[in-house]
Amino acid sequence: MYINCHSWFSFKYGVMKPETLLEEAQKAGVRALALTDIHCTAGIPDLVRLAEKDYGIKPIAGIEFRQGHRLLYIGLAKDNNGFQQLCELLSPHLLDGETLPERAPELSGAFFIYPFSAAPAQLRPNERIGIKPSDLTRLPFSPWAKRTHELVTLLPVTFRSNPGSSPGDFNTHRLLRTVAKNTVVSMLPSEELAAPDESFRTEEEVRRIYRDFPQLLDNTQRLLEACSIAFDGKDKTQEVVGASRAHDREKLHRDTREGLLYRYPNATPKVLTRMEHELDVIERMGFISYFLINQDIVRFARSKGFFHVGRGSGANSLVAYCLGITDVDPIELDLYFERFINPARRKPPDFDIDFSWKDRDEVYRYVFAKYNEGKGGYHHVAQIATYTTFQWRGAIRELGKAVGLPPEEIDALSEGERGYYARGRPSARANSNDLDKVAQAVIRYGKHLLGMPHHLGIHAAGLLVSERPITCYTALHRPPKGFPVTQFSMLEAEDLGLHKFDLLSQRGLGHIRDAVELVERNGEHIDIHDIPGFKQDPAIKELIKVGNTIGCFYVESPAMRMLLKKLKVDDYLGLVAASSIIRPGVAESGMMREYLLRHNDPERIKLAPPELLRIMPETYGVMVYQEDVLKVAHYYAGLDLEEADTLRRGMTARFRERPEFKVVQEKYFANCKAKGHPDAEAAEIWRQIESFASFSFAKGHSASYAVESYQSLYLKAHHPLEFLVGVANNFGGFYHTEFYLHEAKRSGATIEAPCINTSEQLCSLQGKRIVLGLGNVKSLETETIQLILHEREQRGPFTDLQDLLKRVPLHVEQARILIRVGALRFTGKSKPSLLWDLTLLHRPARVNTDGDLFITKVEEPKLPDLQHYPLADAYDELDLLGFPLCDPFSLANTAPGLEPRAALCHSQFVAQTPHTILRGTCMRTWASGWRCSAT
Amino acid sequence: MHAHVGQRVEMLGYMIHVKTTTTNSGSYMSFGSFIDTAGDFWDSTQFPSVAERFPFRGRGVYRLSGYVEEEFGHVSLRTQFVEKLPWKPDPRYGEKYHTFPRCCRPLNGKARGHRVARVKRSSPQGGDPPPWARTRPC
Repeated sequence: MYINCHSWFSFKYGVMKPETLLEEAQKAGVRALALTDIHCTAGIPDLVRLAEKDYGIKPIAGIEFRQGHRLLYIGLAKDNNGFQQLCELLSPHLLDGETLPERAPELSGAFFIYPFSAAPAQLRPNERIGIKPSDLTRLPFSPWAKRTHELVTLLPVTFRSNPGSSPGDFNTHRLLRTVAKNTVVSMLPSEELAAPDESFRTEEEVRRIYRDFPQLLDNTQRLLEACSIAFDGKDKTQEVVGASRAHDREKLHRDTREGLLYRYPNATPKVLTRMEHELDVIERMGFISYFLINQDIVRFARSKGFFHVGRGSGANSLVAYCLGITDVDPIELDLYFERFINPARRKPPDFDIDFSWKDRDEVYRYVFAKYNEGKGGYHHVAQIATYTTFQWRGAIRELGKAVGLPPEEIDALSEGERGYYARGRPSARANSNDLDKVAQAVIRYGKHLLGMPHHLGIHAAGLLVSERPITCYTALHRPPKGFPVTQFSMLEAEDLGLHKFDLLSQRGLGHIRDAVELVERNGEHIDIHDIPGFKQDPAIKELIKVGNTIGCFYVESPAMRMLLKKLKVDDYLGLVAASSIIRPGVAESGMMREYLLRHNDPERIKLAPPELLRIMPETYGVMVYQEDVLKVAHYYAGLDLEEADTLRRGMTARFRERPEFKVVQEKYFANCKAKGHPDAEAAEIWRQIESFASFSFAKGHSASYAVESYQSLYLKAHHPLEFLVGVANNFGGFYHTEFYLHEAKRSGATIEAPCINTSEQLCSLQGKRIVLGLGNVKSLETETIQLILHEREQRGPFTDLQDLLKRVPLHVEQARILIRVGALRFTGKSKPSLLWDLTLLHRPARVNTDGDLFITKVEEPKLPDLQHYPLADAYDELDLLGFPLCDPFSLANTAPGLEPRAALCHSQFVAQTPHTILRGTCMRTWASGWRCSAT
Repeated sequence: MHAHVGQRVEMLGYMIHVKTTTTNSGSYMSFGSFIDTAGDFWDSTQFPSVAERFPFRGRGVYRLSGYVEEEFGHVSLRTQFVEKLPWKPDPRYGEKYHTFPRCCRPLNGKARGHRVARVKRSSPQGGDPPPWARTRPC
């Protein structure tokens, strides 16, 4: 009967997650339901996955089409084909803003249900009119009363039916609508709202409502029977890349063998067997195309001269190493391929491929163009969405606005003592009773909203390349200026069997590339890929040992430098371990400390549980890498590899709720008991697995990161100035630009303020001088910078302020900024006099800047001597660059009056009284200006 | 700093970065990184009692005092007192511009009492200057 259910994927409309909807339906004895979210298909994969299996309900996929708040029609998919047609009907609207047709097109695979109030005069065979209970009074007097075979029941479901919770649900819905319309509750038009009674009803109630038109019930029943949808979990990634399957297979084998010759000039039998074995498993699991697409992406990047890093658990694979996807040698590091590709695991290994933030979009464009080509206009490539959910602070802010609280009160509720607390938890004080009713309601409904999806975001990296059009599984939307994006998240994509390609953008590669270019501009050639050479380099070892790694990719943060010092490592393997140990899971479970203790004190290693020590001798029995979770689950707890993999995956909060995870948890403890492990130990290890697994890195992944770290370490050791300029210009790293410049200063550079005759857009290196770029000046407009640089390029350097003003149409404020930051210091005049000159010389910008017929020189006015303070320069720099170029300590006020003593006791001495205390000693009380203290 | 492990010192630092974190019990603490007057980097740890009383107030030069601690060869300052030094007044605008509060004022007003108590407890009998006045820059 229910052909129009809404989940919370009807963003800012629905309130139930798909599971809750199914639960409610089960309670009401519903046997089939259609999930029809408003312009959204995100809930469908979950519905299809769960409905039949866990709730015994037949799932039907549909979409509700609306124009503003007006319902146009509801589309129900007869089958998967129909679902695709519906998605293709919706997608142009979401992708390019095309208006939806008033009358649904004729689709072979879909039913359309129109509302009674907007029924077309003639219906096609696949069209129906939905009759709401409120329409029943008018129905007998309309022409439709004689055409009941075309009518169905329309009972929308948006709320839970429990009487206790449904007013709550309706109010939540009302607030969500208010938030969506950006208004206040009292101003919200009622058409925006669902009816308060939109929930599941018992069968008798439904029969009672439609007792005058029982045929409607039969019609609806038949409609539901005619619809169905199913997804299997089989691999849906593009299957064939080249001409044919055999061709692909041959290509993979050929390219791997070619790569092998390059990577291992004299390959041992061990390498060869491993290669054969991997190729065999890849073929058996059907991952050939997955590997080839990754290879193709990397090959494209290389042809463009882009740097990349291949990492992720796929970095454990020898084939990936030979194909050039990754750069770490799995034999040298003893990386197990089976851990990530084994028959128990249906998913291919993850490849995360990093590109410089400047290059990534071009790689995206390539993938979209290449894999959509020749596909008849269908979308086969899409980015993956994420659900942006309401967080505590945001929910309170939105609700506060919706009920019309003044901004100060909203601030107090969301930020202050009683508001937001660390990690998005509602603060304990958020509940107190001294709040007025409205504020209490905001808090109460804030809790309802917590975790509810708010809108769709974009996954930072994931791309899908599917064999059939993506619209078979989801409608597509497009964020401003972006690529098409799915409506479901990576979790659903994985359930469906769509494997994602992760192409990330990062800044580290940008600075390596820039630094190499700077070095090569000086005529020196370096091979940045000479990793084996770097591993032996004593200068790099020294940097790691003393933790002098500022600017170096992944190892520059204070925590990492501290860890390196504590570990006292100086080699590649040490760095690999360190970059895994620093991950939140290891650090938070207390295992980072334990690792350090065992690392520094061999005696302590003996305290480790012997079983774990046997599994992971290299890390002193501490789980450090992602493989370790699998190893522990497999060897320690006797779970099979598939269960172990469930465990590893299960660490995201959303996955952990799933029943299959619970099953593994129970089995873990049962097995541990059976194996005779002490309960406390098993529980402790479970705790570590829990806090650890989702954050952990595969060893190959860490090793890939360490390669990039080594590249930056090499540059820092041998070309520090080029390197630090590269870092500063990519605005990447952990620290503020100021501290990279500070590092450069320590390596012998002098830092100079921007100058209109020598500066570029970004910092430039001239010998040992680093000249800040005009782009480093805050509040200098990009347009101004472009004008200055362009004019200088065209017609040579500027001679003085007058020349600048004549040649570039500058706003007076922009010119003032240039003077204050010292960009005209080449004129030899002081800042105050230049500022005076500016007020005298500046005339409003002229349209014609092509030049005058005659060069007229205005006579320079005579100014009195103006006092110039060096300290004032520092303040200008603080203002305009964000940091002073001089020593910051010279700016701090350590005048004699502020010696520590004075700073602490700034009380005024008033009187002093001697006392004799009980023990007989003498004590003096000082009375001071505003407090008393005893000495 | 390595020469002063275990001792109470007072140091000047130009703030690079402060990382705040919550402890298991929910209170908040912070880890600071600073540049010293010679341009070298050093680190500090503020446990909840200190972190809550003396919150850092943006970038600038700070005076920190506390004990130098070593763990596995890495030294850091276990901070007991934090003070932000004011910038020198901007000559163009007279005395009042760009001066900041002398101390990191406590959030809850307890720190006055706290500072006095600290002075009382650590000040030995006799005429020695109190420990915080024994400046030992490293």
